[in-house]
Parts: sequence; structure tokens; C-alpha cells
Amino acid sequence: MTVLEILSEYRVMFLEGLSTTLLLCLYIYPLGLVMGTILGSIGYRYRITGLLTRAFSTLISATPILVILFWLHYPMQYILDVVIDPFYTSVFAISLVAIFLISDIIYNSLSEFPQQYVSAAKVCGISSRTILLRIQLPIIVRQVLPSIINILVVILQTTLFTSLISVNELFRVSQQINAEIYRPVEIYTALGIFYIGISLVIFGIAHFIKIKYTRNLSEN
Amino acid sequence: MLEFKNIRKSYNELEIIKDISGQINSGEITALIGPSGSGKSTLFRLLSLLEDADSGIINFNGYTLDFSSRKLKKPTVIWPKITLVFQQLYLWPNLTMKQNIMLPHKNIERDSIEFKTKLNDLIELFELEDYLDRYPNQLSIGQRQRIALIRGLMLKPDILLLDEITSSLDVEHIQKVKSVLKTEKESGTGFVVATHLLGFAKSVADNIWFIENGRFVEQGSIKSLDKPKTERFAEFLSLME
Repeated sequence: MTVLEILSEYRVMFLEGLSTTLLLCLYIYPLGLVMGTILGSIGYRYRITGLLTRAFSTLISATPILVILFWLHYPMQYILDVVIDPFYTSVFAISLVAIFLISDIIYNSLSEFPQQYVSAAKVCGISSRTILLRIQLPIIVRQVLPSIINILVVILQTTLFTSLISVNELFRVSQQINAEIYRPVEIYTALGIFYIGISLVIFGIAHFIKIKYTRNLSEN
Repeated sequence: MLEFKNIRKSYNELEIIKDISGQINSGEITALIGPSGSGKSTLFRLLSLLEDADSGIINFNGYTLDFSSRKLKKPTVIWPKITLVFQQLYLWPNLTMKQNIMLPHKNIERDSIEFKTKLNDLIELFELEDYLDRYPNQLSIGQRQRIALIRGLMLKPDILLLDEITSSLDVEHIQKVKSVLKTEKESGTGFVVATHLLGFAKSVADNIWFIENGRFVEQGSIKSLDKPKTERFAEFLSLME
């Protein structure tokens, strides 16, 4: 069977897996972006929160996502005596990673933000909140966009680890099809096509945002 | 009125401002003259309270800030009563010129007739009507300087510190800046204007401060420009002419 034949034959399964993967992203991306931006901004404004955020960020980025997923799904739920749908456990685990990675980027960008613009705003009597929302965040969007996009793509690829706790996403579906027909090269190539397709959409949206909502701020 | 006494400031053990005292009176313009690197911009950052002095006292509108005190508490309402137009301007690059002027003001203030009239007059005077929707990087340095000046003036400060705001202006616009400063001082604003233009200082200033190596070498009325008390100031003035 060729890649196209596999895609055609197992399209229903692939589409189900794809919808689960996309649904995971649909939960994780907004959570990561919004909470990460808020946490990064708070961390920048309040030193202790900033130190804690960066400590967590370091800890989480150093811990394999498989370990986090495993701990949240098995021992943690056993200890807390709860049973949570693996899908939501995955959303929580990967969102946590996304939040801390994005907050780290926002924190660093704000820390390296040219302070002269902040000084100019301060002497105009502008509040810290307005400075953050109207001056700092809009300026850093363009700067952090490529890093954020990289994180979103990495997060997309990270969703395949949720198959470990039985989330029926693209990778798990591919494994199931492979167990049935044993054509790993073709099946994982097809899997790659899906991931590349989704990534291209993300890159496209990022490019649109960059063109539409940000502008080159460098002076002549 | 803003009064400062025995202000000192060091960076990495290098003393930049050395025991400087003076006062900025309401309705007066003081020209701050001195060679590059003499401490003018640092003095402005200290007087605008963007940076804390290492020691000394600043009195402003009933507030006393003693920088030697360990319990220094800055009043939160100090800005924009004291404000500063930076030599490098620092217009916010993500905002248009109009937004740069408007951002510090609340809606109710922006809608007042007094605000609109003053803004329109200044924009018309400085010939910026066609540039308000442009971004800072789309304008010349001279146009940006005029916008930064308008941004400062629209804040209606008690004390306005202007750091080299005429450095990129043509003679016509320098004349216009002079007329605006004279009008504004009549309404009670106290100005300190750092400048390298002797003619500009002579025609607008009431007082002169000559700073060198972080010290005031000479302070006095505008007459000091014609009759300097110190040899060093006389020598510097002769080079400025």
C-alpha cells in the first residue's frame, strides 16, 4: 500500500485522530498564550513571582513531558483518589508546559525591553498597567512572535506523547493502523504529512498576524 | 518651584554629579549650558526623579525628598507635574504621533475644548497636521522633536525639563519653540532647557546654569552671558559664539 492508499483507506481513523490532536491544541494554545502572557507579565512586575515562575519554567522544561504525563495520569490520580479523562490530563500537562515556556519568553522580552520607552511613559504620568498594555506588550509581540510560533509547533508535536495515556490522537491512531497492516514507513510518512500540514497553518497564521498587526519599528 | 540641594550621583564609583544645588522657579526659563558629557542629561534624570540621587535634597510642591534618608518615599503624583523631554525623544514606536501625544491623557481631558484648542494650535504652529497618523520611524528627526515637545507641553507640567530639543530644528522652528516657551512660562511653567545654542539661550532664558564635570561652574541671571563671572565660562561662551 502506498501512503495515499493508506490515507484513503484509513481516512476515518486518521480524521478522528486529527480532530483529537486539533482539539488538544485548541485547548492548549489559548491557555498557554493567555496564561503565559499574564504570568510572564506578573513575573516581570513582581520580583518574587518572577523568580518562582523562572524556577518552575526551568524545572518543567528540564522534565520530559512523558514523565509529567505519566505522573499526572497514574500516581497523582491514585494519591488524590480521582479519575480524570486522559484527554483533560493531557490538556493540563501540556498547557502547563506551554504556559511556563511562553511566560519565560514574555518575561525575558519585558526584562530586555528598552527602558527608555518606559522612562518616557513614567515622566508623562502613565500608569504601569497602561505602560505594559499599550507600550511594552505591543512592541514585544513582533519580537517574540517567532519564538512563540516555535513553541506552538513543539507543543503540537508534544501532543503525540499523550498516546502514552491512551488519548486517541494522530500518533496513537497511526500505531493502531500499523498494528493492523504493518507498513510503518508509509504510515509514519502519512503522520508526518498531517503534522507538516498543521504546522504550515500555524506558520501561515503567524505570518498573517505579523503582516496585519505588527510593523517594523526600527528607525531610519 | 523645585529646589535641590547638594545633589550627588555616582555610577560605578565615578561621580557624575558633584554637590549641585539650585532652584527652578515657576514662570522662569533656565538655560543649562555645558560641554558634552558634563552631566546635563544625568542632572535631568535626577531632577525628574527618574533616578535617585546618592545624597542631597529635592523640594517640590511641598514634598521633600531626602536622598540620604534610608526611608525615601517618592510621592506618586510627581509625574507629570515634573516632566522631561529627552534628548533622544523616546517616542513610542508602536504608536502614531497623535497617539504619542494622547496616550498620557484621560478621555475626559482629551475631549475638553481647552485641550483640543491648545493641541490644534501647537500642531498648526509646528506644521504637523499631515503627520499625525504617521509612526515615529516615518518622520524626520526634526518632526519627531516637535512632536516630543508637544507631548511634553500638553501635559501642563509645573516643571518641564527640555534636553537639547532644538538640536535638529531649522531656524524657523527654533523661533517657534522660543515663542511657545515664552507663552508657556507666562502660564507659570518653570523650564530648564539644555542647549548648545547661545542665541537661543539669550533670547528665552531668565537664568543660566553652566555645568562642567558634574559641577555648576556658574549660576546666575541671563546677564551672566554678557558678563561671565568665571574665566572658564567666558572661555566656553567664546567658543559657542
